[in-house]
Amino acid sequence: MAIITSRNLSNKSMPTLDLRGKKILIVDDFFNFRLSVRNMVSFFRPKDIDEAANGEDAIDKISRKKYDIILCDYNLGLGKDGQQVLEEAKFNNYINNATIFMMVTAENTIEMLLGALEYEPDDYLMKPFTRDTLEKKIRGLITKKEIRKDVDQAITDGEYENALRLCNELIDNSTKHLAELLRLKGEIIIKLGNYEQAASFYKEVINMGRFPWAVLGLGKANYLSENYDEALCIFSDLIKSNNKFMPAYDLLAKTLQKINKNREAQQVLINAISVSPKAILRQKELGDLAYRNEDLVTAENTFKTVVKQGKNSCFKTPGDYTKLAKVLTERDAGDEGLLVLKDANKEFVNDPKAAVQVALAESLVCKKMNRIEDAKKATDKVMSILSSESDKTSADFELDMAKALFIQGHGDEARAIIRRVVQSNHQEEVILENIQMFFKDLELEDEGQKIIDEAVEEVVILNNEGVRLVREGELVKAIDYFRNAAKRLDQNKVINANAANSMIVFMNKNGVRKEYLEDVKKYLDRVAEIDHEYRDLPALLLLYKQLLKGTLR
Amino acid sequence: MNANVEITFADILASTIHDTKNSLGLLYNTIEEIIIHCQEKECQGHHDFFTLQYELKRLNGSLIRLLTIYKSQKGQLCINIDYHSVSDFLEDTIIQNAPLLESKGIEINLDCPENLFWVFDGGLVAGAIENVLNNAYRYSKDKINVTAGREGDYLAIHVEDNGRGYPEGMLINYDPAAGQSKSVNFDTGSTGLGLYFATLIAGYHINNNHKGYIRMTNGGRYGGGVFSLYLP
Repeated sequence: MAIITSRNLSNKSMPTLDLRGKKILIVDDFFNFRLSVRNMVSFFRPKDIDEAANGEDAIDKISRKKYDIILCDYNLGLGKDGQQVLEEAKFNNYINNATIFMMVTAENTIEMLLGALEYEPDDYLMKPFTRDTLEKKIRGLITKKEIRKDVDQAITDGEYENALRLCNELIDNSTKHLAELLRLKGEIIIKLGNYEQAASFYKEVINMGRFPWAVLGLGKANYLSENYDEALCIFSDLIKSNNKFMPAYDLLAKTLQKINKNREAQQVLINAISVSPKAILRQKELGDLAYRNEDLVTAENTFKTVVKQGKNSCFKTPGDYTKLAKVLTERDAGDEGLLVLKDANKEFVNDPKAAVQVALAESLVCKKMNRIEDAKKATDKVMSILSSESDKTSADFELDMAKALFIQGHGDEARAIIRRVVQSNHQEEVILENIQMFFKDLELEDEGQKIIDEAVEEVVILNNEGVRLVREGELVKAIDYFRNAAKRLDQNKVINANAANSMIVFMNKNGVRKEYLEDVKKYLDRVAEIDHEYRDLPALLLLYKQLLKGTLR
Repeated sequence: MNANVEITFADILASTIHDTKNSLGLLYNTIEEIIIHCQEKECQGHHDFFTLQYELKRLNGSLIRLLTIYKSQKGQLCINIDYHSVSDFLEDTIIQNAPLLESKGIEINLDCPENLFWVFDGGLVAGAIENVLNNAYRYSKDKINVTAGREGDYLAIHVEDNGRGYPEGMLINYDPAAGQSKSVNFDTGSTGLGLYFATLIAGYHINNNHKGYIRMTNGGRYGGGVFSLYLP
């Protein structure tokens, strides 16, 4: 043996990697390459080795069999590329935290950060690679997955405090996977909503070395704490030093929008798309932004691309079609818009929610084209689908109903519903924007804004009064107040969270009361149901659990 | 106009390199299989395949270097630093080259503390080290020693061989305190390009106002050539 080292070279001293019972998928468009990799992995005696020659075939196989290891070439010819395979597999939960997904590339790894952060592969393999390299990488990934298993589980369960504690323990005990664990820790701190803490944490990490993920994290923490100028600098620098670091583009565009530089944001997304043209989610962002910027030519072209790319994508939605139809109508091509909607109906069969959206869009297009009869027909269709809907309480349902009523001329009824939806969701930008858009489509922008403003203001005043009572220590009054408010606005997460909070504050001061504990749980459950990622939820849940523990003691 | 034509040609060159690399990759793996097959069957002459594989690896390495330099000149090269266990990293690099070195009866020794961790671009540094190992394969008599350790604010990686040492003109005795590295002599052909590459890669590593650099000296424990890479 020619190698003598101060310690044993691990591959040589360790028993051969044992993949018995494991299922492996090899994705590559070259038969020879698949064969070569197959020969390589068969040495580790896995249970199954399957092959796919293109992205579509890969997705099909991944959806039907739970693979342990997927080795996927990035460049797969004309169809989906490796990144799209990964995104689709993750998006549809075909693969989970335990699955090892390795992207095989022809060149340096940094070129490949094309997707969003949440769609990163576990590792990259550069061609050509040897069996030893593959063995070493797989072995390392298995260990890594094993180490972070509990933290990942805690994150999946939404127990971020616990995840942070576990992660800190690992950091103290494992130098080998330090970077990985530090990265994980940053993500948890952000999830906990402690953005200032996250920023100083990332700064510390950057002192060790300018890890791209740490710089991105610092930018994100600044963005979330609304330090937009700082965030802007960081994201711009990141792109300057690596023009393929796609997450930086997305965050830069978001930051620019926050400081009302929508035109610049649009340009950033256009640049990003020229680097990575197949990222459909980014295309959608661009379409929306261009529309808001009233750049209808860009909006039309972009939505056309979205619809075209969407045909083979898990990210296809009826909204892509209705938006395109809307833009076309505004560009005096309403007939083409109607064709797009017809196409949408073919694309989303047996999907009542999609059918409602498409029919609503159809009625708006017809209305714009002064085809009143057709508009009525379309809204009738909306009503009839909605009447068989089982969940009649969701904001989406109510809004669709209100829209149909509005188009048919039942304005007062519609306004009352919209008001209620706004009050239940007074901080939900997506829903408020949706309502604004609807009024804009009807060229009643000012009226829409007024309805929203008034309804929001009423809730804000209501909420502030309760918060004031809590601050001034009038806890009994505050509890009473929020109870009433939560009765009226039972779908408003802020009111529900504050109702829980007033009781928690009371109990922290005056001791635990069983009936309050039950109410706190009820309110927090409601918050979680409305928005399980609500910013204050982890902190409130923690306080609730502490109180609960106190009663057991 | 002329400038445009030049850029286009460079781009065509780059994409051709990509393509060539793919073919090389296949070729490399095929030979790898043949070698494994041969070893199992203990057939004669599989050493020739190692030579073949060695040359392929050299070709691949050259192409990677070309691409890297191309990107560097276009201002597109970006550094992808990560946190590495230095001993794991060097082991990986050595393991990839070990069968080849073994085939020529060269003994390779790694001397690196296990608790040494450093931040650098693994892909680029591996490319530089592989290039040096490839050279050592050619020029060493029968020993290569890789040592790594912390020296001041730098991670120092030394590759020593027991060959005749570097020719006088190639020696680089750089001292960061004195500044100004001597420029690489291209008269030495591919070796010169390899060194240029190593210098480039070292220089891309900057941390707390320290910049990476290389040294090439003669002597060391075997009295042969010593290549040293310093990363801040």
